[in-house]
Amino acid sequence: MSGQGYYGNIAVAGADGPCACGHEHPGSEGHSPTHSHRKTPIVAYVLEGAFLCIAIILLVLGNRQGFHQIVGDLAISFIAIIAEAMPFMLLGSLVGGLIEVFVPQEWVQRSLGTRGYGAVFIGAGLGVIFPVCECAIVPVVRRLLHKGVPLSAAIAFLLGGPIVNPIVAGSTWLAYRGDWEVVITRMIGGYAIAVTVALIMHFLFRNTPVLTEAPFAETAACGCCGHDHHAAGEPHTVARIWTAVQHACDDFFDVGKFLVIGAFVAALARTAIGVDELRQLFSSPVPAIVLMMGLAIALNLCSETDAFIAAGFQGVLPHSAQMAFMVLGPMLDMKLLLMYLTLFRKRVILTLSVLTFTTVLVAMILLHYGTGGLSGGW
Amino acid sequence: MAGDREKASFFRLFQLIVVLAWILGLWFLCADVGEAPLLGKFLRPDYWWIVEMGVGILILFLISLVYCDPHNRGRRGLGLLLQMGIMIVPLLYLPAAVRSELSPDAAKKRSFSVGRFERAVKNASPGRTSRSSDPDRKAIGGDNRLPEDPSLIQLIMESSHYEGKQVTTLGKVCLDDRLPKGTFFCYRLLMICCAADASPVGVMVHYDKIDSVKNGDWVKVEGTVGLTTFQSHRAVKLVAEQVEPTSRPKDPYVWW
Repeated sequence: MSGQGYYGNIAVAGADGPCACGHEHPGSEGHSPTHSHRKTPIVAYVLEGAFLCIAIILLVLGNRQGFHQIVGDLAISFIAIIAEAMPFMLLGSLVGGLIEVFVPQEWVQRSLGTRGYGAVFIGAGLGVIFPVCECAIVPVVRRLLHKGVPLSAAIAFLLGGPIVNPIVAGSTWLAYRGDWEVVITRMIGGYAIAVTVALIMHFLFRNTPVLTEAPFAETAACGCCGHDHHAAGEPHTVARIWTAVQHACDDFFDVGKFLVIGAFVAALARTAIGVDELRQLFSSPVPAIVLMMGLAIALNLCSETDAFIAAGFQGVLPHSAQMAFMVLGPMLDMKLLLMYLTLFRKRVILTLSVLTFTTVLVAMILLHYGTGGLSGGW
Repeated sequence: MAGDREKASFFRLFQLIVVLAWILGLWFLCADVGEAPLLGKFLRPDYWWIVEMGVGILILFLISLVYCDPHNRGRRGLGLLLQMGIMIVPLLYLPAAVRSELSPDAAKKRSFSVGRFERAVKNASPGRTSRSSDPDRKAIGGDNRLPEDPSLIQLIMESSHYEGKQVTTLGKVCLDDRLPKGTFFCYRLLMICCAADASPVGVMVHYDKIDSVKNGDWVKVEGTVGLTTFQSHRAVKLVAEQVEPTSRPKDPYVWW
């Protein structure tokens, strides 16, 4: 299998390469052929370097009179988002590391890999058992993909997990003062959209490489080389726990940098965009839905807290627009788009983004006009 | 293989420095600075456990980096420098964030309108709006639910009860061209989860000597409560008799 590996039914380009993990491997056959050792593209270096330069220049400018206030506002929002999101990402990394080490690949493949479309329906509802927000879900999905979970099921979990979970249901219930109609619509809407997008992605990318080479290459998401820790037969539980922690630490660095960039962009948007001016421009339903979807992408709020922001628009924008904000945000925002770079190729991210955006838009227009919207909304 | 080990060691050294810096940064956020924990400036104070959980996980990472054998080569060269540089950026911004306070311009951009005040306040839980239980506190008509020095949120929530009454309240000044002449917004930021989602809630204050008021100042306003309409929304208005500058309160935010 030269240059072409597979995760379950997911094709990955460039599978051969040396291993640096130091584990005993029974031969190349024993390796999960999942990663390449291609170098990071120059464009990634340029973008990361550009971000670093901009961030440092702004920080230095903050000492000057004209920029002091703006940089101060930016710094507060930036640190606030990081302080809230990073611990959840760390938790997600730890869960991902434990999955990597303790969940046998055969079990995952048997449970999800052989269920066909059923895996999609299970994946979209997995958040009920693993209630993770969108910051934490990316490292978990990385590990699940590595374990052989089919792409469609992984995407269903990636999109549905941060919505269809008890914590998000609770926060939505609180924000809307016990309005079950809103809670149920959000859960069902999130689940249905996750399943729909996952199935379409399955048909579009059945035989195409979809995963980026980077995570399992020099950044070594599996740390070592993609072998199965169960197959490798590591000695005892304590040693395996530390291996899981090492994997989690790698994820913290690989995914964390995108979280940092995303949080910075979100803080910049929060500092620069005036919500009132935008809102006045969008007073009818469809533009209002589009506005709220745009805001969801720009503001990068956590799925466990975004309902409180959406609830602030009650009486100003229709419920369908508030729902669009709550459904799209956990699936697609600037921070997530950057974090997706650690999972998928750019073409796949583009398709996934367009598909998710369109599906949410259609669903919300249907909710507004087709079902007459939610009671209490307009 | 020896070369790989050296590269791995170099990579781990960088990782170790960054993880240690993050632990110190998050620990600093949880520390008490002055009278209140610094964290309250960025997150709800009752979210301390989120940050401490992060510190705990980072300590595990630190131990694994110190005691466990490297299991990969990691990044090298420019990629390594960029990765570590990006991970350090939030820590570089931390001092600027600690020194700063959200400006009135930032508040304006966060939907500064009286209509939003009403909705935000409708969503606020009365149990969390810092009603005082101080028995010495003066109350209007002997009703302890209506103190003479209500918080801005109390004032908005109980506006019909306060109408026509004389009160003293505390807030920050925002001068805005959209307001009638001689009027400013007196507001505080209502935080739901973190400072990034904080939005202003407050009242309109009419003051004859508005020229003496500076944008962004903390002020104590003494005046009579009334109701008015602004941009087709019902709004609470104070006709101020006295507006005097005051020091920043211990907790500049109010929480949902």
